[in-house]
Amino acid sequence: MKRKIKVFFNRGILSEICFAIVVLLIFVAIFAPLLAPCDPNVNDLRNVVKGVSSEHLLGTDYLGRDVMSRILYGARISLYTSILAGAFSAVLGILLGLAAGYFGGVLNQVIMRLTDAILAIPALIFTLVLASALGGGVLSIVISIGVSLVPTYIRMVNGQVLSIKESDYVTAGKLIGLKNVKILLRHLLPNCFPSLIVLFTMNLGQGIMLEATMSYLGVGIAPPTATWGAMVSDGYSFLTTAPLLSILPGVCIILVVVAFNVVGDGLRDALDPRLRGKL
Amino acid sequence: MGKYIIKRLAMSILIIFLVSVFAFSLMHILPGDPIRIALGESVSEETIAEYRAKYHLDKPVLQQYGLWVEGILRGDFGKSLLYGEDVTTLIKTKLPVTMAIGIPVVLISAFFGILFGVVTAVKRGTWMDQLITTIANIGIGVPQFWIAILCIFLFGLKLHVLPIQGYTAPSDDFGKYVYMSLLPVLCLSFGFIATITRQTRSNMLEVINQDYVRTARANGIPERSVIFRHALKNALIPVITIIGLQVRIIVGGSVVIERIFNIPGIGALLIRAITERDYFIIQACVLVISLVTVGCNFIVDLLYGVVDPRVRKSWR
Amino acid sequence: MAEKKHLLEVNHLKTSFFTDSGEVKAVNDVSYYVDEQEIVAVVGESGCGKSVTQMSVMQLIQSPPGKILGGEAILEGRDILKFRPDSKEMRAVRGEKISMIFQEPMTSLNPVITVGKQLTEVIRTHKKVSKKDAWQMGISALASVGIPEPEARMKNYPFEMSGGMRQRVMIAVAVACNSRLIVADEPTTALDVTTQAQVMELLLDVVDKMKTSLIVVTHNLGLVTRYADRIYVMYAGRIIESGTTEELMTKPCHPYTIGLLSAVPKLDADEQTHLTTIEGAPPDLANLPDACAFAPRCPYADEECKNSPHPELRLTDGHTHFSACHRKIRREET
Repeated sequence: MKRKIKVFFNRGILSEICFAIVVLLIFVAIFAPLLAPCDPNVNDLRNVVKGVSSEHLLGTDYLGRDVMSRILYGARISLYTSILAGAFSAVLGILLGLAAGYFGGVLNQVIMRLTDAILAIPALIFTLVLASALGGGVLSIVISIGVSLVPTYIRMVNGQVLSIKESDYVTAGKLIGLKNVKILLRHLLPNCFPSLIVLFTMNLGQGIMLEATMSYLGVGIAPPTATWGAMVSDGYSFLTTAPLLSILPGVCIILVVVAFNVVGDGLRDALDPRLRGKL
Repeated sequence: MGKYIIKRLAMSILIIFLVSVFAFSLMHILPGDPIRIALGESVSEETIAEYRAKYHLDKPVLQQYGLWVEGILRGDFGKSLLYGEDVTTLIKTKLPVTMAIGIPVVLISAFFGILFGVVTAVKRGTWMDQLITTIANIGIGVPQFWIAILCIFLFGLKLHVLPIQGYTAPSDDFGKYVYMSLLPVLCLSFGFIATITRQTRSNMLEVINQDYVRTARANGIPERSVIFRHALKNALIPVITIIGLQVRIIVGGSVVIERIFNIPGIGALLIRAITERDYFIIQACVLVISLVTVGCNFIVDLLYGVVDPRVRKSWR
Repeated sequence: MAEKKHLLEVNHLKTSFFTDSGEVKAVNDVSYYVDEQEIVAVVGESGCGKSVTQMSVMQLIQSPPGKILGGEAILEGRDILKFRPDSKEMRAVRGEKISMIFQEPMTSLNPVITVGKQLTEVIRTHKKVSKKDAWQMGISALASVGIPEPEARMKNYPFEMSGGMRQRVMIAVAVACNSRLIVADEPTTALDVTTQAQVMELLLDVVDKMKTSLIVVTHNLGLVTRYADRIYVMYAGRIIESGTTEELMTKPCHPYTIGLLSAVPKLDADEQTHLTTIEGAPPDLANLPDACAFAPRCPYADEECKNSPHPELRLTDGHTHFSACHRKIRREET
């Protein structure tokens, strides 16, 4: 275990920076109310699109709201949505993947074809239409992002199960009469853990990206909630006067998504470098 | 090999069928009347009843689906709920626009992605490798809408070099088409070049260390041939997968790009339909877009056979 | 008496790998030669530097992390180490003047290009012939290495051939280019015993017919004693004994060589005899002591061996038998 931690951090300064970014994100998300200087949703129409000042460290947006606070609260939305969606997709995906792999046959075909069907629709479009069809609130967005990420888990778990299924220790388990469920949970699942952890981390980045794009397009979390995507969209009209309004939240998105990807890479190298080509 | 193609084709058709069921059911997921949801509260009961009959919503769901599919097979995607436009016409005019942006994106991304991947692998460790790889690593986290806005800011507003809105078809005026599409195409390509570069680089690094590359060198083959003929051919196999996967994301990304650059493509149509709950347009768009994705995946599968003789053998 | 010019003469070759653990002196002042129509064996355990030596001569060392630090390799009067690795001159040497055959036939050929294309590519790199002519040359090369139905085989992919056949293809490359010297790096290690014998026989046949020289690099001393004219024994990056096969078989001087010979199991030995082994483990090439590298494992080592610098190769008897040992052990002493 210690060695794995060492490998993770030994990959170079970049890994460490990205890990720090992730930790920072979590910290900011949890403590946003304490860290933010102002309420992110309070309009102040006398101070519209003002630049940097002592009161507003990053200026104000087109409704006079404090940009800094909105960014901090935006971190919340990004993290919470992606974690919820990630957890949802992981649970559902793992269950379906296990079932498909272990029971094989028709069930496997049905599940895999459904997976293919979901993958036939571009992730963004799938999420957009499903979220809108479900009504468009926070829950719809979480569910639709979750469902769009489910195929990644199904494919991975299914693949792992198929390869492990025929191995000796599973046969041995069957021979001594272990129930199917027990075999699944005790033997098959733990083998998948390294890949799953890496996948989950990568999907967090993906989830944040999807949520931001949806917010940008105006079909994400409804205003006036502060989300990074919406901030980029709001700032578009002010590109010439106050470009930072759009650019800054975008930079946050980049930092966070890249950080999750790099951390995912690091986890993969630490937990199972053999996965290098596949994840 | 014929058997394999037929099997794949059957699979693709099955997937399209499943997608169509999904697309169709979108309208019916939410409780309540889709017509009412779309048209809003202020519409009279009679209008609603009229629309219901017109769009067959008074019939059982299965039958509605059947009618819809039957219409599609005849080439008729139905009519827009809100504006009554013929959806088929809409798609016919807008799909080529999306392709006119999408196809150059695929080609440019593949070309530069593979090029950068090879260069960084061969010149591993040099400043060129480090620079390109860093940009690529960051590039995968860059949202398309953000890079678009950045480019609009730089090239459109500050430097006034390129237009930031609008579209001209290549058949109308090719020069203007290039001029107007340059920015959208570049913005959309950015992320994909990054992904393909990373993947190609990683595969090339693996392949360059293989024994057969050493053999080729030991036989006196010039280095350029070694890299491009021996190494790349092997490294490209997984890269083809990646490019295939990217098509899916490119199509998704075109939604955003079309919106930002005001390009009248299918993506823009879809967004409009989503915000307005124009279900028939949504259904049709989802189906058509999936057709494109599934078609591309099919082509990618065939490409495998072209590039890797071991795959060709397993088909027989 | 003026010395006859050698086909290939390597002098004081030094190659190191610069790794995180330090400098690994893989080839530490190695000199050897091969004459026309001679069969020379380079023998030693894994990691002793025998393969790296050959790769260095061909300038196939990956740099970084490896680097040829010094020495010369004279072929046809020119020092080929002075050529830049990717220059035309060096590439003319590779494959044409010196052909190399590698250990793992399963992975040594490009899996996605037909055998014929790979053969003709090499042929056309070295000779100005048309594609058609090259194809014909390829077919006859395949035929001369005993591959049945060579025309059909040209269109095969490597994965459609067995290991033994792939090794034959590698030899065919040498035949097609009419090389002066074939370097076979563990040519039979990855093959089963029957195929091993076939491949060795083929190699010797080719060498005989084409009048080329052959360097066989192997850890299997038993493999080469029947065919080699001369043997070099390497240990920890140095040559520690060299001489004619007869000299080494009958009067080995270096304790390592003696150990190697004793380790070969004998068919007629008593059932109960233990296999003789050489005690200890191979040295860490990143941390070589200045003294004799074999001393820690040597049953005859004394204080001088452990403390004074590594012994030079010295003539022990006759004109050709050299050994790098302070102690001058005779096999009869053991």
